[in-house]
Amino acid sequence: MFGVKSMRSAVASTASKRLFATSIAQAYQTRLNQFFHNTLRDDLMILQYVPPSVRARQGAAEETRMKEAKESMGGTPPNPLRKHKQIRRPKPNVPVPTAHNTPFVDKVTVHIRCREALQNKHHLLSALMALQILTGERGEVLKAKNDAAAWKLRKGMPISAKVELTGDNMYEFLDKLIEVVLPRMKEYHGLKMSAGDGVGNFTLGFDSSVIGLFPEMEVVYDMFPLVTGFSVNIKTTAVRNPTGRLLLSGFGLPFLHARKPKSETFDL
Amino acid sequence: MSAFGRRLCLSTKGTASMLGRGASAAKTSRKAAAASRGPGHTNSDPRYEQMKRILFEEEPRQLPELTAEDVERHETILRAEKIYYMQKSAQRRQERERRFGAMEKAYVALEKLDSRLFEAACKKEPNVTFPRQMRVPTETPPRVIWDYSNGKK
Repeated sequence: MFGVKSMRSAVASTASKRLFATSIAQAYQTRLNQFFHNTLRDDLMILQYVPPSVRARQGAAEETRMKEAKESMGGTPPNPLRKHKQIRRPKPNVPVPTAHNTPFVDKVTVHIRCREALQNKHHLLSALMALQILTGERGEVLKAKNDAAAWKLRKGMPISAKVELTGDNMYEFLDKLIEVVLPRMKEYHGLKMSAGDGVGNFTLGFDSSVIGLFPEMEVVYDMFPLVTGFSVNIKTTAVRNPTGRLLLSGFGLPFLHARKPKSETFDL
Repeated sequence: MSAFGRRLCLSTKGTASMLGRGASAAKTSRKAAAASRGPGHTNSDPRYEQMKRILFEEEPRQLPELTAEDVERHETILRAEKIYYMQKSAQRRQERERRFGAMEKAYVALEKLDSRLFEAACKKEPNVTFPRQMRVPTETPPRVIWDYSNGKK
C-alpha cells in the first residue's frame, strides 16, 4: 500500500515471526469507501436535510393532494373483495433525515444469463469463470424457476450464474466499472434519468463486447469459448430514485440530464 | 500500469494467471483434438476441461498451522483491529452528530431571521446529481484538480 505509515513491532517467538506482524496500518479501505466516509456521506446528509417545519408543511400538502385525487376519481369504485390483490407494491415511506441515515450502496449483484447453456451445459463454465475473474468471488449457478416452452426451458435447468458483492469487493468492482470499463465503451454517456426501479436501485446491462474491456479479461480473452454479456444490479438503501441517483453520481456514475431550454439558463 | 491500476487487478490476478498459463498448452491440445476425434469424444472444447480443473479440482491453499500461543496472538490482533475500527466509527459518528446539530441550529435561526432566505435555503432541485467534474480522489491527482473557469477560456 502506498503512502501508508505502519508501526512494526517485533514478535518474540522466532517461529511466529513470519506469521504475524502487528502493524496497524492506517486502515486501508477501498478508494470509494474512503471517499464515501470522508466526503460523500456528509454531502448527502446536508443535501437531504429538510427542516421539520417545512417537512410538516410538505406532508400536509401531500395528504390534501392525495385526498383530492381520491375524491375526484371517477369511474367504478375499487372492489373491496380484490383488495388483497395488490398489483403495485407500495413504496416505503421516506424516512426523516437524521445525522445517520444517509443512503449507501448496499449490495452489487453481477449476473450472467447464459441461454447457450440450454444446448450445452459446459457453456455455464464460461459464465462462472468470467464472474470469478471480474469479481474475485466464486459464482453461484442459478436454476430456472419456471418453464418456458418457447426457449425449450424446463423448471430446474441451470441457466445463469450470479455473484453478490458486498463491502470492499463491491466497491472494488464498482470502481473498475466506473473508472475503466464505462469510459472504454463505445458511445456510452450515462444512465438515463428514467433509470431505477422506483425505490433507488439501479441495473445496468451490458453485452458481450463490454466484458472484454475489464483489465483482467483482456489477458485471458482467448481462453473463453463463449463470451457473454452481463448485468450489474446496484442495490442502495435510498428509498427513491432521485436519492439513489445522487448517491451513485457521487461515485462517478454518469447520468444524462435533460437539456434545459435556453430561456431558463443564465450566466452568472 | 499505475499503482491504482495494479490494485484493481490484484483481486483476480490468481484466476487470470492460471488461465493464461494454460494458453499455449490449450492451443496444442485443441489442434490435437481437432486432428483425432476418437469414438468416445464428447464434442466439448478442451478449454472447458481446463476451466473445470481450475474451478473445481484445484485444492485450496493450505492455511498455516497455529499453536495455542499463535491462536492467542491471532485473536488479540483481530480484537485490536476491531477496537480500532470501532473507535474510528464512534469518532466519525460524533463528528456527524455535531455537524448535523449545527446545521439544524442554523436553519432554526434563519427561519426566525428572514423567511425569504429560509424558503430559498429549503428549496430543493428535483433531480440533482453531483457534477461530473467531481472525481473520486486518486493517489496520483492531476495538476489542476478543479477547473473554475467552467470550460470557458
